[in-house]
Amino acid sequence: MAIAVNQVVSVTGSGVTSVTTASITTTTGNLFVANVAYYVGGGQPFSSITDSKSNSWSSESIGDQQSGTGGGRQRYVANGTGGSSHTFTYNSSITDYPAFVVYEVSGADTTTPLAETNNSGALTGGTSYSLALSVTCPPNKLILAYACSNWAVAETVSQTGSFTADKNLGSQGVNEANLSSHLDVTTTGSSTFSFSFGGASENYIIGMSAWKEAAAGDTLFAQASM
Amino acid sequence: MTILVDHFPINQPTGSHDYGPANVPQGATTYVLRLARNTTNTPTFWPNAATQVQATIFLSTDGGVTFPVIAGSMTAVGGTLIGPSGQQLAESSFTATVPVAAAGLRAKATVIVTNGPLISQVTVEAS
Repeated sequence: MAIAVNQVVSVTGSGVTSVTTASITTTTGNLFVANVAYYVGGGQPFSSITDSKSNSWSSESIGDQQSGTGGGRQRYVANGTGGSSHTFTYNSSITDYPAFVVYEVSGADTTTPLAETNNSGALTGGTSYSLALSVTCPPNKLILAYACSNWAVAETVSQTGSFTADKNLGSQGVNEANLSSHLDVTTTGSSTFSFSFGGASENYIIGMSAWKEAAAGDTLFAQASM
Repeated sequence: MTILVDHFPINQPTGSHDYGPANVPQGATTYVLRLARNTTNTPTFWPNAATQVQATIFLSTDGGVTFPVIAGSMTAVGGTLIGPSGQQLAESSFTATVPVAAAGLRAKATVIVTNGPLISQVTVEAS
């Protein structure tokens, strides 16, 4: 079975210590990947990601990145437990303004699904940004990318390039922003996640991760361009 | 955005209470819950930082007999908060999306208070 995005859920919060997604029906054995953007103006808020099936979210694909007062990271569960009434929760240690996105991915390697990552670190002062990740195929890969920002006001963000925008959670000034997108990769080469925005210059971070199809085993390399 | 519960007054002791239910507009996939917070203009609202709230939107597919589906949830604590904009935060809120819209839904908000009472206003919206 080809690796593919099954479904995506999201929730944003303002002045909260946790947010929980809608309950969905998921499948045991699938990969779950969470992108979360949070506000670090009052300190480091990230505490944990949990779900109603008691999966362990200890695996971090992209660690904490910060730009200005905006932060974000990506975590995952390989070969997770699924089922009906499945919810996902982002827990903060202090009052936070998060934007939380969770992917369910089918067809992923159940032991070591994470193939490669790249992250931008702090970005500021521009009006458009991009980050590239190269993978060697076969087997097929799925790239999950996110861009987080501490947009203080409502802004227009436009996805550019070949990625599919799954969630574009603008801030409206009351929560962090999170643009989460994916790309199915079937040929060797570099894939670039790009976006531009209208409004005041803000602080951004970008993270990208490539996920292996089941029974994969190949050589990968990463390349970043700004 | 359709308002299902509009600034409904809350004066709730420690424990659980439901607000609604209300009919959900056809095709709705986004749900919002807002709780009014303590500010200079609303000094009686949720003043105690030890007062914790868990607020959840539940959905019913059987006309309001049972509410098995969670649309979204949040926890928050009281007191005056300064938001990222530098202004007092007037509301704690969440906005959640469900993957698939369904017909004939009803929604309610369940608010669980710890270290109450909670004095506030609750608003629920769907679109």
